[in-house]
Amino acid sequence: MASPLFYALSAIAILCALGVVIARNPMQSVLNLLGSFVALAAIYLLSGFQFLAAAQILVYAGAIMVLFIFVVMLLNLTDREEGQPILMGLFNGRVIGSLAVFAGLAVSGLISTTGNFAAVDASAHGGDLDNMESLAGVLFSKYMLPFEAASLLLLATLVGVMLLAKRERSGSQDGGQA
Amino acid sequence: MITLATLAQAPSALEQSFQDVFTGGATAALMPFMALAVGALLMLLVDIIKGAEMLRPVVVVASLATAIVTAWCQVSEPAMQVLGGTYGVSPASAIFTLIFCIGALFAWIYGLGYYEGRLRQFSGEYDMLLLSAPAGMILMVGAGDLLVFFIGLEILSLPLYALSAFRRNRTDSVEAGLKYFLLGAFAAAFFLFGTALVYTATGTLNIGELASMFQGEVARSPIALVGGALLMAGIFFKVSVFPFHLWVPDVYQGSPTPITTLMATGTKAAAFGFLVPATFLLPPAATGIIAAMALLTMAAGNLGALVQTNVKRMLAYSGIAHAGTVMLLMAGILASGGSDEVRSESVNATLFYMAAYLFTSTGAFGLLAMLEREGEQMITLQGLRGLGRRRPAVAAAMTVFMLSLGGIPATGGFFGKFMVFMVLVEQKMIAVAVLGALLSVIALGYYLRIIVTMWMQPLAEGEADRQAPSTLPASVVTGVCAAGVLFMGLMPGWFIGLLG
Amino acid sequence: MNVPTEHLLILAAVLFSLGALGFLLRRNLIVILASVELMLNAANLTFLAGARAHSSVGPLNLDGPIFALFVILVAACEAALGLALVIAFYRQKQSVDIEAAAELRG
Repeated sequence: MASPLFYALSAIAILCALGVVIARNPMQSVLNLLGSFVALAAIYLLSGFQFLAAAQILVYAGAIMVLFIFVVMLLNLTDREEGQPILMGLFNGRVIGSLAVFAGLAVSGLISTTGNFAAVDASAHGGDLDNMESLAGVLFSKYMLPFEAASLLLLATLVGVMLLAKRERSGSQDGGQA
Repeated sequence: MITLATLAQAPSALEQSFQDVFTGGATAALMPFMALAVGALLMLLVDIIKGAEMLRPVVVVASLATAIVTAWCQVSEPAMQVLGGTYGVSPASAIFTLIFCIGALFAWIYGLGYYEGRLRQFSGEYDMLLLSAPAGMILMVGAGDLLVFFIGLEILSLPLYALSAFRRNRTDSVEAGLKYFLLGAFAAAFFLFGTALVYTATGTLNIGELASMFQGEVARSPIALVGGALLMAGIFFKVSVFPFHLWVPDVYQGSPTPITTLMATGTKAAAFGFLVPATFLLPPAATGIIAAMALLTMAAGNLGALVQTNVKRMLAYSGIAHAGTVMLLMAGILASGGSDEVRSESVNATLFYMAAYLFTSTGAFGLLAMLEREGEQMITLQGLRGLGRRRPAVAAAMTVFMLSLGGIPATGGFFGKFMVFMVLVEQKMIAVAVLGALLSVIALGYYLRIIVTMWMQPLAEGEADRQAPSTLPASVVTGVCAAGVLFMGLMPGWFIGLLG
Repeated sequence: MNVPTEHLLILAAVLFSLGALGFLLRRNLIVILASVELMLNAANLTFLAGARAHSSVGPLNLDGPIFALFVILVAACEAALGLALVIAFYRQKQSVDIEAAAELRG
């Protein structure tokens, strides 16, 4: 039975998510996020999604995390940024509003799980629910359009990021000095 | 033993399924999208070749023109689904495509000469992003599948985040980009979570299949209800519906004005192009909530606009109010129980409204872009004083746009509103229609204030000899917009005939 | 693993709500972006839970995993662009506090 493992991983994912929200230091927040990603990847693996688990580790825990950590280091952020500890300002409108939205989302999310779902058969399709060959078959036929369009999305993002982060060439000076 | 040669000879199962999906119609259906995507790629190429800068306008105009012509050809053709049902073209989606491409073209023309010198070194990137955004909008209205819609939404959004922060040496522009990004990322997360719940409930992402499944048992399951509501909420963020409208005026005000024109018209049209047909995702019991949200959106927009002195910000609030008006159509569809007849009538009303709004809003924001070049303070109410004496043609065009935004007869804006309220009246939603009309009358307060300021108030001291750096292309576009507004107001039958 | 679909969905709902809470509550832009990533992950988990439930009773349903794949792609794009905007913002304000974004009011 893999179930105890699932609940342990869920607990890790939730605790890390909580850590993201309440950690004062942005670096701690980001590292907690990493923990949450890894726990979720393990859950994907347990549920029979091997390819997605690999993609989760490679892209999320690998690329995106490096990006986040890089920016935190680059900007040399400390916990001075936020004025007051969160629990101190519990009675301002923003906190109350946020908690209300949180409660609303949590309740509606939990309501949504009261449907009738078919019992899960762990042995269906040999326990391999994202077989790479079948995945590729769908991706390159039915979902060809989003696949191709995604390349435009990546390119536009690349150009946009460059536009925002690149330093300007000043007309008279040598560009290399900046 | 498998060699490359044998692989090349025997068509694999993958190749077979690819050929099943990729039929001849697919290329024709995707022409407008491909024209813009190819244009975006060419732009990057042209941008790195030394001495080829003068080709940039050629690439922009050629790809937008190709998209416009191919979309125009699709208007008269019957609807069809291609690529295994993930994409479809219909006369309605073709007209939406025309709206996006014309909007992008106008936005690009207003941007000529708008940006100060140092930013011109980024023109290639700017043009590339400006071509990508309408490509995303085209995918959104053509999508037969929620995945295609989502990718289109992102191709629209990410370039616009970058473009709204384009004047990155200015704090207001970067702030606008940041706020737009945060709003959009939050919205995308809602959309995705809602889509995931809908998918869990139904097992499909195909919009057509969802539409038939939501008429049955599925629609009453809690997971489908919550999923549909969250999905819709994600798009409501995009069209600045109450209570998601708070940062929209900041974003519109801080972004470069040519980009604001595209955000105000294109994004809104693309989102409503999806929302109105996809109203089936909401239960009929939500009629009251949707109607109330639409009316509150109108109220928030119009009341917010009344107290503004910056005209750009005022028009941003006015845009919120217009989103509320179109949203009333969704309440009408829900009240009818989702009948196909009311839906297609509502799609037609959306198309007319958005086409009229394209000319009106692009023209109004574009005029502000032109005035802005005389100085930042020119787009406040103070700066508009006596404009009628100083630049009568500009003031006259602005008057036409204001009258159309206010819904005065003989302008395109009037018939747009008329068609919306007709749908409501047919559904016996008299109270909603009356409230909506009353809120539109409030709006006249600030539109007329602009007109009065321009024509009746004296010039400020020393303003009389201010010389305008007018540009020919922008003036021509403004003229076209004014003509379009009047044409749609005086001869609405022509456009309605297009809708079939 | 025979965990019922409901439990996966509950986990996703909790993660999504926590992400939304972080987004609304926190003022540090980096943490806000991290919260968005959390919300996207919750959506992904839901897609996979749905795919698992539907694949158990019928043929392999690959729409969910494919959508999840695209969400990962979009998350990477959004993170890159968002962080670029944060850097541009930091250059002007020397701060990553959302409260510093207060030029545009009225």
